[in-house]
Amino acid sequence: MKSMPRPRRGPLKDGAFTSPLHSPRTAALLGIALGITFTICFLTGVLSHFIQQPPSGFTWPSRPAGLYRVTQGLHVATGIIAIPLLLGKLWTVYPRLWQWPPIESPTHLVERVSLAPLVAGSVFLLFTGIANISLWYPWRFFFPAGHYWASWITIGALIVHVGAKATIVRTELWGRDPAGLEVTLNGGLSRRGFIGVIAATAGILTLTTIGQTFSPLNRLAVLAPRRPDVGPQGFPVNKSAVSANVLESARDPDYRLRVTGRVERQLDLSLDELRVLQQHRATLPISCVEGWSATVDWEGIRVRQLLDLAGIARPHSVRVESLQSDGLYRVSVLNPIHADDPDTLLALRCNGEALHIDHGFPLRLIGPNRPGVMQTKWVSELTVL
Amino acid sequence: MNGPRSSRRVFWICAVLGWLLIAYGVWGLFDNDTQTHPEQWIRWFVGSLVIHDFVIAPLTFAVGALLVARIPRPFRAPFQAGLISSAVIVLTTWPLLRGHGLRSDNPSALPNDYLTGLVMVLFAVWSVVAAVALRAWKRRP
Repeated sequence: MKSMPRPRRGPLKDGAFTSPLHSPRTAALLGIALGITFTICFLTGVLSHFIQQPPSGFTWPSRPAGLYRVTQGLHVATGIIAIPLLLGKLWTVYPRLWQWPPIESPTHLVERVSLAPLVAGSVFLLFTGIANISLWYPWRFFFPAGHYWASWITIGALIVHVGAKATIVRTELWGRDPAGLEVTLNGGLSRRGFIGVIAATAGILTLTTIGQTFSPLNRLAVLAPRRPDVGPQGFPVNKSAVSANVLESARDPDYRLRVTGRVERQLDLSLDELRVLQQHRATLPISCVEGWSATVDWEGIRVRQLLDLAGIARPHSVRVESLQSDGLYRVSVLNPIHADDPDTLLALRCNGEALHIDHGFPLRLIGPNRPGVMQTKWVSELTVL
Repeated sequence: MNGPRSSRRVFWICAVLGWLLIAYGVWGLFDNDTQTHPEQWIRWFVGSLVIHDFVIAPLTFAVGALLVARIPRPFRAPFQAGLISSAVIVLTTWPLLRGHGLRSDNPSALPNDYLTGLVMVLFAVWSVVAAVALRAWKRRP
């Protein structure tokens, strides 16, 4: 195969790519950074998936209250950082796409074949992730499912790639490369300069978006899809009452909260009856899967207290249902730890006012350390499981 | 760019483990077909590769060859840096600029004026570029 003559046209021509930036050292440095960001993204993403669809044996704790805010904020922030890293890395190694001969050995074949899912998956994950946080859905699959299964394919391809490149990366990082980082071509960027620009761009993107979850930098968040202080009652909404089609049912004067299932006594409470129950206050974040979060003062009835009233002695799982007639997030389940947490509330008020209808009036679930999609709004029924 | 190959054992352990995870992902994709719509998903997945390798990357090289080479020498590196940074920032902000996610029933979605935000950020980037270029010009031999 080695004797195959090299074609002389286009990107296949010998020396078609002249920049010294296409170097193994640049590729190794960007590769390490990408490996770290993709690993963080993968782990935090799988965690978020497990919290929402717990496999048997997995129990997500209710403390620390802000843990999910951190893991999911990290998921989105590292995903954003990965964009300049990935584009820089793919540019650096692009000449290898046209290497001649295309396949050098059986192991090289195994390595090269895995590059297709690696590149496709990496670009796919970052593109769908950015589109999702921008609330743009140009495709017809369900985003969380498509993104989740792509992440397994991508991380698998990444592991194959790491195994194939481990030695070269080690050599590049620990080997001597005197002045290698300073090499330039005709006064263009040096390797150090190129990596610096990638890092600076990652920094700019982070500074202008991270304020959507890290409120001290809120004022810099000019490129963030959300602002933690913008929305009714001072924080964002994901699903409005209009889009959930609950405008009428939520304002119905005959609204009742039912507590049913494996209970001693069924409860059937009107809004006035709920208001005279003991109220509890908690300051908890609302943490969206899309990476924004906001700290809110909540006031309402402890779920634990309602379970006591229904005659439940020990912790149980509880299904929380919304007035919404459909939609994937009309139901969420409190595991026994969450149901028993003293700060897990059915909130009637937030930030000192009765809940805005877009925040779930008359009653919404709010608990520590839960994804926003599991903080069910317009709650109408608790079922003890 | 050929370097020493990894040890065979590390290579094969990673290859087997990696392809098992890929197989798991493919299985999950088809096992959850009511949510993932595999024929749609595959189009976007393969499309990601094709659009990057045969549209975005060649365009980048074309811009590099046509534009950067024409910039006088002391300004070339800072100009290149500004161009790379701006392109990535614009690409990342693109869905926000287009406002696909705007919802009449939810003013808290995409609340910023993203064009103004982008202009401000790019102004900051090119201010740095100009400062660096100026310094390079003063120091030219």
